[in-house]
Amino acid sequence: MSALADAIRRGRPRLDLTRESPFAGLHRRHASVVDVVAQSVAATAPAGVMLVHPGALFGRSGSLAFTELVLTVGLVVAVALVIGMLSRRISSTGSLYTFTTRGLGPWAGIVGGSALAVGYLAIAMSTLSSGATRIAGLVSSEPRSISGVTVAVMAGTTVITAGVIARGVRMSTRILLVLETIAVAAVLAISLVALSSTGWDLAPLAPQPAEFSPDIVMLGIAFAIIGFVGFESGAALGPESRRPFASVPRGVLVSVFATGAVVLVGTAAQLALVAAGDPGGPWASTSGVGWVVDLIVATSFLACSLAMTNAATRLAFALSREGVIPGVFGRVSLRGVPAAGAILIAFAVFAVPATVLLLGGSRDTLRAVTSPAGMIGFLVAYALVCVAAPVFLARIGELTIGAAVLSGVAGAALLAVLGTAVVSTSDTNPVGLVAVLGILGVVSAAGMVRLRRGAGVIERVGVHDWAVASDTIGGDGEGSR
Amino acid sequence: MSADGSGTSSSRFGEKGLGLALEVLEQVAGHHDGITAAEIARAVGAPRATVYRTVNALVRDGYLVRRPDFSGFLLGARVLELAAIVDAHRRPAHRDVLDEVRSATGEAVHLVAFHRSGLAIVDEDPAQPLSDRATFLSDPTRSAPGHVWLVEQPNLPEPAGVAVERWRVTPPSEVVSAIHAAYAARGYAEQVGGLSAGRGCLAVSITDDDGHAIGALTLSTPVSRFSLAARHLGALRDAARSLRTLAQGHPVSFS
Repeated sequence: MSALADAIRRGRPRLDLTRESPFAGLHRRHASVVDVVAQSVAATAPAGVMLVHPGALFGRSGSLAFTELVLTVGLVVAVALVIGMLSRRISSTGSLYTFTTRGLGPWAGIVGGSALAVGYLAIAMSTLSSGATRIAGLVSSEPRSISGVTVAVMAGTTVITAGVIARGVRMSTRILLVLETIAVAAVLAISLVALSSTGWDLAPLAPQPAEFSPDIVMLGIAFAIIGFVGFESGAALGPESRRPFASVPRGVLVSVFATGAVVLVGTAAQLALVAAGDPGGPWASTSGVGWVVDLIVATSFLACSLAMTNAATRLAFALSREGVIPGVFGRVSLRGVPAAGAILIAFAVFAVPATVLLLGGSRDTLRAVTSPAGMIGFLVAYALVCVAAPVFLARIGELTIGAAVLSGVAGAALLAVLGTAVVSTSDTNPVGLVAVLGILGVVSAAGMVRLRRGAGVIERVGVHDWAVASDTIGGDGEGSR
Repeated sequence: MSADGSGTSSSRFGEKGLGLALEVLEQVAGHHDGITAAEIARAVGAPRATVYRTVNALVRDGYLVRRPDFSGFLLGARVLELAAIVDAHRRPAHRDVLDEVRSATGEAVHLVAFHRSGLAIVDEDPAQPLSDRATFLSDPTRSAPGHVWLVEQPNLPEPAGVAVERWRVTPPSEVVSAIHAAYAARGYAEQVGGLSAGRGCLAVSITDDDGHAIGALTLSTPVSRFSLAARHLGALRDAARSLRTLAQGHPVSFS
């Protein structure tokens, strides 16, 4: 008799596994790869990125702009593959935080988790205020009332965000997908129409060797990668997915390829136009479509804010279940959604920029902190996960040469980009840099204090949606006798 | 697609992949407390990257689960769905013997096992199935294996766990003694037109080490070639001897 036949026949119940997942209560196993893609794509906000970034990218890097974007897409694909190795083995709402903890241990995990949280919240705040400002500009022509209208739009969006997230993951992802698809289609259509008006002159995309400098390229990548952050956020939906180990790696990779392709095409079109002597992009000279552009960017950014808030809620859920942060973030509603956490986080995402605006600050005041916070937060989180991946795989005895090389190359590239970004920010925005490093330090330190002081916290960190007795052949020993 | 060899390939395994997947499951089943991917790779002797891809595909589909601390793999609940496939996939040892005798003779060859109340079909020729299965299993006078059974009167227990077919017809004693006499004269059993008007069959017994019959091997042919069928007796008897060795003194297994 084979061991398999014997095992099937006997079906010994497992007494060494728990009966409940650490994520018990969450509405599990219902989302699909579409939801993962929608979450990741919306967090990336390709439509808004295509409209906002190319001009700035060209301003920084000139003829190297497109080359930098291509390199960035390559780096992002590499990071997505590294995340794929982990998300094929670990399913957790903590996504990169849990992956890092599993590879490098609780202390490095807290740093990675803090960086990821800072990244999510910074981008959520900046896209919320940016999107709301554009809407305010459309509905009000009175400069003095812009701030008030912006705050009102932000408040409205926050209520919608909290409500949508509380309704459940599929509700939020489907809305995100529709919004982002419309926005991307509009941008691509306008870009291609504009491009054909210039006779498809693609010469500006080619790098001029004379302008090449490693520092400029590295900095360009640091800037361009902001356009892709959030692509990993679909991984946080693992425990809510029907087949997490299939849909998460696939969904994240599909998102990266889709946004990469869309952004490359859209940016190529616009760079060609920008370089053709139209510094405001194709839109400045095309009178009458300015409001369309603002509407698309606003839609894309507000959707991005929702997606980032969604991801932050999932991250907080894992941290709460571990005991690192208060239990309210780990509480689920009747629908199996961490609704209370979503409301609190959505409110925080609203409160910070609203306070800045109401105190007379501008969007630039906010951006002085959120831009470096987003960039540094995500770069730290990505770099740590690239270091964690081979360590984790080696520990479980599944490291291959390919995996080691890929994570090594991606990790080294990210660290180099991070270093360049920090050095450059210390020149251009020292206050912002100090603020970001301060926030990261305080958040990490607070987490570490919880690790040390909280009863049993350090043993619990790294929880994931692990197999329970009923997932195994013997069941949980009830009803099988 | 992925560098760690656990790509997003189809969840349907190829034939080779299925074999490896079942070997992996077999290894995991043999280690109740879990076994690592590296240990599985060593045990099955397959390239590590291939084994990692396989275990991850099995985890993805719920056939395996990882221990919460990632120290090894356990059998997942979905393995229960595999139970039938496992048995179908495992190639029984007698299949090689039958393939050889089928290709050597070019005729339909079936393997049956005996129990005290009838026959059990162990391996029906897939290319040329039995012409009348119901009669074959209900009336011992209508087939050559039935004649062997009547002569040998085996006293083997009915197989457990399968639906047992029993003879429904009890032949008169004079018919049985006629069959005895014919069998004694020939050394094998022969029947023409019992199951199908146009076909005949002959059968040799498979015996255990003590000479008791545990089953029979039967060859069926159209009536037009029946008078020449005896030339295959050598091949049938060789095959019956090989099957006896495989059976190792036990009744042919009812797999």
